[in-house]
Amino acid sequence: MKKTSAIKIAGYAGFILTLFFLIYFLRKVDISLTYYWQQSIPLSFSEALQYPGDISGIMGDRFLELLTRPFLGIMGVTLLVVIVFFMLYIIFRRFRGSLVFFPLLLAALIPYIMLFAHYRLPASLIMCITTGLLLATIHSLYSPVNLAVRTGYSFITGIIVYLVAGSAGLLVLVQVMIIQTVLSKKYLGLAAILPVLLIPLLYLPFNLSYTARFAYLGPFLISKYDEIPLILYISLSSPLMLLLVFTLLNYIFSRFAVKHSLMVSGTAILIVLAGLVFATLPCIIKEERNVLKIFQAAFRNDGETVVKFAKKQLFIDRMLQFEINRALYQNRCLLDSLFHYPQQFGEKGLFLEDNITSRVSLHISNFYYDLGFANEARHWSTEAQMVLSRHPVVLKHLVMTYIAIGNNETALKYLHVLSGSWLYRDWCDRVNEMIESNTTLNDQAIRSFVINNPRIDYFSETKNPTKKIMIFYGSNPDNNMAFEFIMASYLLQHQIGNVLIHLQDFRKFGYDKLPRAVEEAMLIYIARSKESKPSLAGYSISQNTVEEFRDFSRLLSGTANKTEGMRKVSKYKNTYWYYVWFTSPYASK
Amino acid sequence: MKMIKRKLPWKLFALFALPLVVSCNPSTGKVKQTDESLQIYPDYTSVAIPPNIAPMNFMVRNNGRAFIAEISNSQNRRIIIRDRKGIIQIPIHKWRKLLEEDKGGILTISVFRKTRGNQWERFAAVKNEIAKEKIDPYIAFRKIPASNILWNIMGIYQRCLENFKQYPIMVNTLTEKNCMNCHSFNAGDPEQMVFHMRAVHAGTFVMNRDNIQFVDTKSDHTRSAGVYPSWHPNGELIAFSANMINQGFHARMGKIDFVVDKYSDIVLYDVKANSITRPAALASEKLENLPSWSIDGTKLYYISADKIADSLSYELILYNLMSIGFDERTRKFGDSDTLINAKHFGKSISFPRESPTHAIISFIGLNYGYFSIYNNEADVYFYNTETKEITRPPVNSEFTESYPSWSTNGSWLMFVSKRDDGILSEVWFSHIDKNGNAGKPFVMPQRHPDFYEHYLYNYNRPEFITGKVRMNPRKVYAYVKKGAVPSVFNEAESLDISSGATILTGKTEDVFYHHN
Repeated sequence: MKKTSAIKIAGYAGFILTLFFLIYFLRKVDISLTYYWQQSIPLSFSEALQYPGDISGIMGDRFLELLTRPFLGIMGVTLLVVIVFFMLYIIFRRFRGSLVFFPLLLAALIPYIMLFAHYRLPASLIMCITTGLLLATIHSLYSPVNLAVRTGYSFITGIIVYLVAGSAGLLVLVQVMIIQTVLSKKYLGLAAILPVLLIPLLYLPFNLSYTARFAYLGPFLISKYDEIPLILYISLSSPLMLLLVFTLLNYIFSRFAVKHSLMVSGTAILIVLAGLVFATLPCIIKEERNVLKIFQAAFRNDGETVVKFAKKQLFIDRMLQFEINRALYQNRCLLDSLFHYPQQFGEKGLFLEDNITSRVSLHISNFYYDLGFANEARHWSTEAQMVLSRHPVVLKHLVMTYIAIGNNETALKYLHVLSGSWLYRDWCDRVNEMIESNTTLNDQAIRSFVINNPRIDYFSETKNPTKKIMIFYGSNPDNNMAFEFIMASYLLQHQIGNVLIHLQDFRKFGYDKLPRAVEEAMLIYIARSKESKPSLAGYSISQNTVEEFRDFSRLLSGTANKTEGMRKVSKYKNTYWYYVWFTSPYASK
Repeated sequence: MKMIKRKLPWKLFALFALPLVVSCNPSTGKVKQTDESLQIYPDYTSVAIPPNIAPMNFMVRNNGRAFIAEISNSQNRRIIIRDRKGIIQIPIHKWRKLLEEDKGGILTISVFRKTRGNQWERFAAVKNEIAKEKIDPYIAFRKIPASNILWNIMGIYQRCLENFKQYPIMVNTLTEKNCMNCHSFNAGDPEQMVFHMRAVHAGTFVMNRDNIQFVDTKSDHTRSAGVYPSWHPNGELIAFSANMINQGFHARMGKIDFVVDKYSDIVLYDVKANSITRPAALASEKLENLPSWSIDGTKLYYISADKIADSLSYELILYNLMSIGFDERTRKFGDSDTLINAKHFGKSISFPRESPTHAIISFIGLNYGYFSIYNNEADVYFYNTETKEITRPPVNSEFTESYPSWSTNGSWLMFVSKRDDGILSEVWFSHIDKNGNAGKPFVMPQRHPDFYEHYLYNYNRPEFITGKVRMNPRKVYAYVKKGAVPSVFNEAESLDISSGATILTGKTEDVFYHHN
């Protein structure tokens, strides 16, 4: 008795230590990034009844909302882990007296905990597994002796599980049924599983747009933006794997009398805890975390955080470069610090419109929102809605742009959908009040849209964003963001002459001296042009910049090839000169 | 003694419970009428409704602590529904009886509300007319979100108007999320259907009763596959437009999108022979588009505009309403006739459709172009083919109306309207009396009255059908996955080409649509 109690205490102590580690792990993961990636306004309950597993989808969306608050998010995940632990405890209660009971239960939690490090694993799928396990556990509490009754009981449970948790939940139920049958040694009970496996097929007449593949694979058929890591399949099959391991280890320990059972159990728990640490921490992909932090900060218009995390980033793709450039503008140093980054995409790192997807459209919409270009912000939010139809940022943009356009009815429609999330209710109430009291022009964003509305209509060319913004700037000559991005685009396209033409506009925008990248560009222009002293609209180039250009030119002259040249002038890799000669997509090969 | 003991508790219960029950419901004599007007959503007041329509569920938008709705007909049959929030969902069987026994009668909606002072008061009753003429039991439509360039999940569905059931005819989740559009039926016959697929599994699905084909109507002689279709009443021919469509996005607030054809012509597709003919009369330098056969099949209505230079404003593109005679036996066209000159009318014409019973062609009038769905000023108009008079029926709103069509008995006009939220198109119906006058329109009923408040999809190109289409996505896919059979181009019957979308190009365009 004393030994049994001691083993229990050790087991629960191991569980509590697991929970402490879980809190630490979740803080390292930063689970708010999962919300950032997957955020969506939950469906109403009636809408969720349309497809199997959508109820778990609503739970997943609500769970994601919890993740925005650090404390609540961590507590929410901890609660899920506790529920899973006790569900497994109930399912495997027959092994309670075994030495390996607690170690194995704790080991089964490891793949489940690892799931939370995967930001792009749909939360709905995690919920499908959890609710499937919960319903399967409830199912396991009652076990009819009569096979026909048990079959009927299992079939009804299976229907409920399939509707609530989809085929993922059904898979968990089937495993639990197998476990029950094996543990009870009434193998005829396996026949009760067959009708359960047919439930997805029986669903087909109720949904004519489903094929057998959808019916069986439903929640596993995800969008191209998401991912299903291998660890999910391991987590999904935990109950059966646990059964195998329990059976094997019990066989081993039963053959050899174990004198020091507490020591064995305690050691096993420690090994599992060590396994927890060494398995979970490496599954945090730091690069991905960093990227998501950058995007999350970008959507909060927190330029400083974007730049801070961008400095840690080893590889910058086009969308990252786009957000870094946006952040540089927010930090008022776009034309100073533009070439502190490789800018290997040229002007395509400023504008993303030649490679459109819904997720890219979301970023593009953000850009035009900042610019004050209402119709473009609205247009790209509409394109983003194609896949991200209930994305809060998309809906917010649509609300505000339609208010600016004067379509309050449309704004109210999207506001109504957005208010389905408790995170946005206050914002929605505020906007509603603004509409009702006719004070929408008090809002800065709406005022900006109205002020920047192009005076003359034209067609916005998606294939030539520079031209589009040029025309927009022509209508809004006081729009600083348009000006700076046009200048940046010219620099990136090596169109230094076009920058020269606009030098006097820098004064209009309050520049006492030319931005660094523009100074560097002017030196290239002077070096290449036949003019001895071209007009720089009253600006002069700082002596330091001139000296550095001379040094750059001296180092570069006489180099045999590009590689040697890059090595020689590597100290100037943050300059426009380095970009033009080496990293630009227009640089000669 | 025992019996008394058993009965007494029930009597006591009744004694205490009865006053409670009575006090929860208003009694007619004690209810005063409020001056406040009843606000229900959707607006199902003062409309004529078909006797076979699904329950017109609504919600009460006035403030109140509880609501009772009493729906009654002229025969004094009543349905009473109680709800705290004013969400009135009418039981379908009771509703059907109510309407069926009182065709031509009056449907009265009386709403009572409980005020904060726990008093019941009554709103002034609203009356609707129960028409004698039924509406076609189904419509088919494409379900798409509001977008211009990208697409994701979409499908063609059929919705029963007598209840709320909706079934997919085809969904693109089976075909790698390709695009599908332009579904059309021959006079509402669910056994004669056509629709297109684009991008992956490109082709046209043609169902002509038991003859089902998946064909590729694109050829070396046309710049595009068939686009906007119209079945000839004989079921043997389909008129398609062949278009090169461009799209542009307005920069200035107030307008969204503009669609213009660089080229367009009309071709004839022979369903049995799987062949395409290019009639010279419909393949000129002009932009011929949106074919629509007359009910008797002796005429083809279409729209036509002069092509303008790229340097000129798109607002100069005005489409006339045209008519051209057709000999079914020889399959020859006569001379075309301008029914409405857009310059004289002051509007461009789009989506002509002849009524089956009235001498009326419904169409959309808009300021320019033909792609009316993005134009707020687009409205439904009627053209009387006997008097040549153009009227604007009282079915329009300040937002877009588009795609008018007629039920097979000519008594119901269906169109899409964006009046609810300005962005998403909903299906609206209006009763047309024997003189061709349109009644106040009403929106297609839904099971949940707040459906349109959170629905984020368009009802695109709704078409009446007289019964349920027997195809479902799995059956359609079985044909599609075999691949499209190329259509033959009937050069012998295609005469005197001048120019246009169907000139011999020597190469086929892979894409018939561009966006700027």
